[in-house]
Amino acid sequence: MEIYGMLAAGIVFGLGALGAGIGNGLIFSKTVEGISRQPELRGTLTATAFIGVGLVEAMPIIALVLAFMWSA
Amino acid sequence: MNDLPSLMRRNARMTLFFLSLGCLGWAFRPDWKPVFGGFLMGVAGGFLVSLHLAWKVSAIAARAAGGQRSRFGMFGFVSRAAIGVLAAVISVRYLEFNLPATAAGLLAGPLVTLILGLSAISRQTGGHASDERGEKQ
Repeated sequence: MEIYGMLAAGIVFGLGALGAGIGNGLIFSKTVEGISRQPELRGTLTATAFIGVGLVEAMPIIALVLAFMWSA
Repeated sequence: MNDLPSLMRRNARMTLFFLSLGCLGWAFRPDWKPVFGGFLMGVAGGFLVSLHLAWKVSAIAARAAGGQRSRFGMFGFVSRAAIGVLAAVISVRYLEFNLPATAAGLLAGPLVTLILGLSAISRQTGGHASDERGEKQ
């Protein structure tokens, strides 16, 4: 049973990190593209990217803590 | 006023609000100390994650604006995840607080970001939908 818990924890964190990686890549590629096109919008684009990445990265961090809870 | 420093100031203000909620809970319900202590540790860890993320995003924006092609650091998300795990480990192993409360406190950071994002969107669009074309009924 302990092995199944650790396996579930690994799957939870791995899939969460995979989704966050894809999401972060999309957000930062568009942000860098936008800043390159219009450098005067850097402040607004940076704040928007921060909001997006903050929301995207919340899930794997919570998944990591939940994984620790399940595997403990 | 939607640049990153002002956003982080508002983020710090709302995080202090959550921290004060945890302190009030600890003061009025001392028997729930493990729960509110874990919540406080989680909120503090979530704020550290937000600070690291803001530093990383501003560094990436500065490099993009400067036209540099240098590689970014490899420990972005790993560092933030490690901060979350560190908050959980300190909270549970050393201070003997509640782990679910710590996880709930870690959720406060994204909640603050979500609230700030929604308020920024409503401020930009003036309370109207962003795909509205201006027809008035």
